[in-house]
Amino acid sequence: MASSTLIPEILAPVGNMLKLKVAVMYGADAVYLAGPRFGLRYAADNFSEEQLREACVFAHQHGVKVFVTLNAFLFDEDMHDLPAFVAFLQEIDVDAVIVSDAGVARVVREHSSLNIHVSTQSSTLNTWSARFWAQLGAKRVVLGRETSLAAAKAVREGSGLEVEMFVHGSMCMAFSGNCTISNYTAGRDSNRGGCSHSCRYEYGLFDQSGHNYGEGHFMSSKDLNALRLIPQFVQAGIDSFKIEGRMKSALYVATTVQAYRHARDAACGRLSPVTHNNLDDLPNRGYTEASLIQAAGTESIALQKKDQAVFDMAGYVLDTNDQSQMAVFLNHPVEKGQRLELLSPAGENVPVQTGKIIDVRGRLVDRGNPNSVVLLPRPEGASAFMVLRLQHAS
Amino acid sequence: MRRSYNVHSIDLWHSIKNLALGHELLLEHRELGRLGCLDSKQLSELAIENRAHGGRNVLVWDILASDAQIQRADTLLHELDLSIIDAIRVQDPGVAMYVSQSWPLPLQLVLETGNHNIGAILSWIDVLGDAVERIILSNELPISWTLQYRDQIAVEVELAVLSPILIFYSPRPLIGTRVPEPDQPLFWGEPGQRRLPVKQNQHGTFLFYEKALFLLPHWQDIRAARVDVNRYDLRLWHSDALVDTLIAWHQEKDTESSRRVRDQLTKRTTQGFFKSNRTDKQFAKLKRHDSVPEGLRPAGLVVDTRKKSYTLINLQEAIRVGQTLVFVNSIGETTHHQIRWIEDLDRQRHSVLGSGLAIIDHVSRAPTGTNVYMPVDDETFE
Repeated sequence: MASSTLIPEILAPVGNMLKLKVAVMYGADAVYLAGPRFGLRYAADNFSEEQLREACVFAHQHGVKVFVTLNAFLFDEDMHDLPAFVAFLQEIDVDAVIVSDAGVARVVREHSSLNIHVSTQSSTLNTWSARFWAQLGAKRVVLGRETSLAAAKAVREGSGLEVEMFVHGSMCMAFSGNCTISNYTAGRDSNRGGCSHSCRYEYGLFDQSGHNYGEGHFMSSKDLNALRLIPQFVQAGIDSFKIEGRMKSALYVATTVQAYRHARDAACGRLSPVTHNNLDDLPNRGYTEASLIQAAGTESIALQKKDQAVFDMAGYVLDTNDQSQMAVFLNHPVEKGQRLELLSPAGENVPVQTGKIIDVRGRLVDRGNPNSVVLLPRPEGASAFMVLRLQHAS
Repeated sequence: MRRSYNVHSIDLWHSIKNLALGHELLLEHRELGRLGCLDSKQLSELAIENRAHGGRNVLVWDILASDAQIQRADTLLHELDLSIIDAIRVQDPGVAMYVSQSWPLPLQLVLETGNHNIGAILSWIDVLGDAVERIILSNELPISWTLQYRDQIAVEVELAVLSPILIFYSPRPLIGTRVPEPDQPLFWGEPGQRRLPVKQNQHGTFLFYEKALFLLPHWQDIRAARVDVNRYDLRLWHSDALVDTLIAWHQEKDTESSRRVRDQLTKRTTQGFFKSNRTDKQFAKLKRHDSVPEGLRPAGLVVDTRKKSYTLINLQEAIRVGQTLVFVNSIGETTHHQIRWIEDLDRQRHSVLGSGLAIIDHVSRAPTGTNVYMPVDDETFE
């Protein structure tokens, strides 16, 4: 049997150090991130080796695990530096690596005693497949997003491995790892970090005569939102609830971790049921529960583009001072009098007064600019790495 | 080199019979093959006919499968006469495990998705053991790599030499019901631009590259790489004329006969990554290098600045007045700056500040986001 995790883990995506600290602040139990190479998000900030070391220290000080993605399908020439990197990950005490390539799993096994988690990129869909990966040293499988909750429970019980499932975020429409559109149409290897997201484009559907049957984003999936099903995830014994989105904003990390942490705690009887969350305020393509209950059909396609956020990230708290102020790093312009909300890890959206915006030298200003720091009145409980948001003017 | 031919429908079989009979047939049952249209009876009849002419029959089970689908397939396999089947071809590692432990049939492993390093290829063979009779290598592997690998691979190796290139496989029905005759050839694309063939069936939606993989002119390189089997996949296009030119090509194997085959294809052709694969070249430019310059250690990050007034640093390390810090901005410009004064957020002056936000005198060419370093051997506190 898989090791029993009484309380399933909330696993957050962190594309950089700020997002790591935000994820920890909002209650993630584990984070996944990428080093400078071997991951699937070349365009993300990712972590240098020094930052990886710092990330492990910070996360472990807060009781949070760190998983490092090594989930690209590598060529032999990419593999030369892998043994040294794997040894480095072991040295800095990474909790697991996420792989999708059997050759990478072999290197990890031969050069470290690191835990191996099998990426969703390998499209593990059945118990036999989990057993295959167990023979290659895996401790956990991240199931393909085509797997139902009932099937996931069977895989966990039948394979003896821990099971991780996505609960939120963008989804490949293809079986993960089975899409090479970028490789052939853009010359960028989608399975080595260069995905150009061709599936999100608008296409026409034509017959041989050129007749157009209509246009739409045929290959663009709606985003996964499994919040409603969290009690069933808990009942099924799923070990880890994974949130997609290492390239998304710190506001996204805060909002999703907060929502799923509360839902998980409520489902485990640690909190009374939560009635409010901010997930609809995030940019999304429309939400779907994908194949968690029944196989996803045409209703799961984001045929028309819809990606508008209700709120933007205004900034995050850098520090507080002795004068009941908080120093806020702004990602977005903020005008005097504009309504801001501080997302509290406890789940409330706390209003922040912007009647007085002060710069760091103590001067009153009418507007705070992006990429600058301003002082704002500190609501009770505000502390570093809490995130502020503001509603679109429209 | 031996040949194998995909056969997913009776219609295709009638078209290519003269070419394929007596060779290895990759038979696609509608329940197991991605594009399979054959029912059990058709598949059996076809296999018996091919066997009678000295051919081999391979049952293709290349859909990616849930436990429930494996269970249904188990029932189907018990109903089929497997004595006329010589091997089973699979892609899903779970299906491979199930077959290897449940049926005494050799396995052909489709390693066309990923598995671009020898360690990965050998790992599959290690786990599945003696059951593996052949691996089908990815057409993203240049032939020079296949040549390098060949000595280490103890089983047969197959390559597609004339084939559509599947670039997307989804279990979801993405065309839905918007086309009255969904079996006709359909394409996704923009008007006047590339048209990608797309098919939807009971197993999902399949998208193919606009060009056909066409490696016939390279047959000598393929033979030199000791590829055992060449695969011909005519499922998306077939005609009597194409079959005739292929028959001729197998006899002549010269440039002219190869050109005649290509002329019969209704689409443009590509050699794909046969010669080289540099699909990392384009996106390497996207990479942001954030490594610490030699001899320095991180001290913080600039989070605000006002020209001729101040620079605000979110500190990682203690700093002191008189110390020289190194600022490296996002385009790599480096500025050495000796600190003249330090304030905290309460505008109190300090000679040393250990953590949090530090306001210092303005640093040129160090906008927000600039990394701040200090020498490795710099001791703020002595």
